[in-house]
Amino acid sequence: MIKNEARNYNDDYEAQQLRAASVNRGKWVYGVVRAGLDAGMTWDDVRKAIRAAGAWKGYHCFPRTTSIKVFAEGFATDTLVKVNDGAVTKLTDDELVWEVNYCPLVEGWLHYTEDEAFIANLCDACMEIDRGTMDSYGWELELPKTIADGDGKCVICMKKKG
Amino acid sequence: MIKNLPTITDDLIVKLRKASEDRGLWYYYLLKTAHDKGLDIEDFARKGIRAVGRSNRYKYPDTEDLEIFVDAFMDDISKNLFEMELKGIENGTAQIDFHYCPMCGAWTQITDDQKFIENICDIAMDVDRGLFDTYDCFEFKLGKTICQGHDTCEIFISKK
Repeated sequence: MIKNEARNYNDDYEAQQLRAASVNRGKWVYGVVRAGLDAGMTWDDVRKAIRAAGAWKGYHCFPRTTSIKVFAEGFATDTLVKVNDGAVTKLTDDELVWEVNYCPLVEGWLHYTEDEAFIANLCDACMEIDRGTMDSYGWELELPKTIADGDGKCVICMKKKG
Repeated sequence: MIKNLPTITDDLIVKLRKASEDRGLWYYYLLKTAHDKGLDIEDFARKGIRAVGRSNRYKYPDTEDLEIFVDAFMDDISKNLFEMELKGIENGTAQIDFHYCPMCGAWTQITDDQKFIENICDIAMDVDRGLFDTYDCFEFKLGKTICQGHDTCEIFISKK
């Protein structure tokens, strides 16, 4: 059972507006992916597309750096903290752990379907956005817990390789 | 040549603009990947986006009054995000010009293939066509667009 509840910033007007914008992104992604899969797209195609988008973000939206701490400042902004009800729970020279209580994409998908297996697949495909960003730094992503898998929060580990 | 420069600098609008550009980024890569694979984006992406548009009906009023609908369509956030201007309501038709498109703002950062941008812009506008599918009393027409190289996107909403 998916639990996707923000505990903080729920009365914050900026957070409400930005969450609504991200829910809308989730609805667009769902609409295109669902129709695309019906028309012959594969999950690998979806992953490839979103990974490319993530790499583009890595090169254009975040600081180009070899330091995970510098990257974290550009990634875990006050805005993202509010939108996802998120927090950095670990930050070392080698690893950034970002935990979120709320995913607006999942909220958008739940407008259309209760098929939690599909939502979990779509969630993991969408996490290619961060994997693509990690590719642009030569780092890697681990995803031990996700809201879409019923864990109640997402734990996103961005780390230097080996 | 696409001209698409935002002028509003309000902090929340700038953040929402980035959020819409991000949506444009995801949408672009999904459609580009499908197109490059040889799939007909005209067929499937229009279906998907139009369905999204129909599902947005709950955000809009149950009304047959064009002015009430236009007020809702041009709420404060949308008005500033798209830099909308109500040109007028005459003979049962409202013309709204959009002076900035955040999704186009993303696409022009990724590619200079204007033909592809024009194509995915028109598919994206199916979100509005889908919304108007849910109204028996209004119809939607898209005039010139920023992605075609014009200064604004022209939206016409008419009473049937």
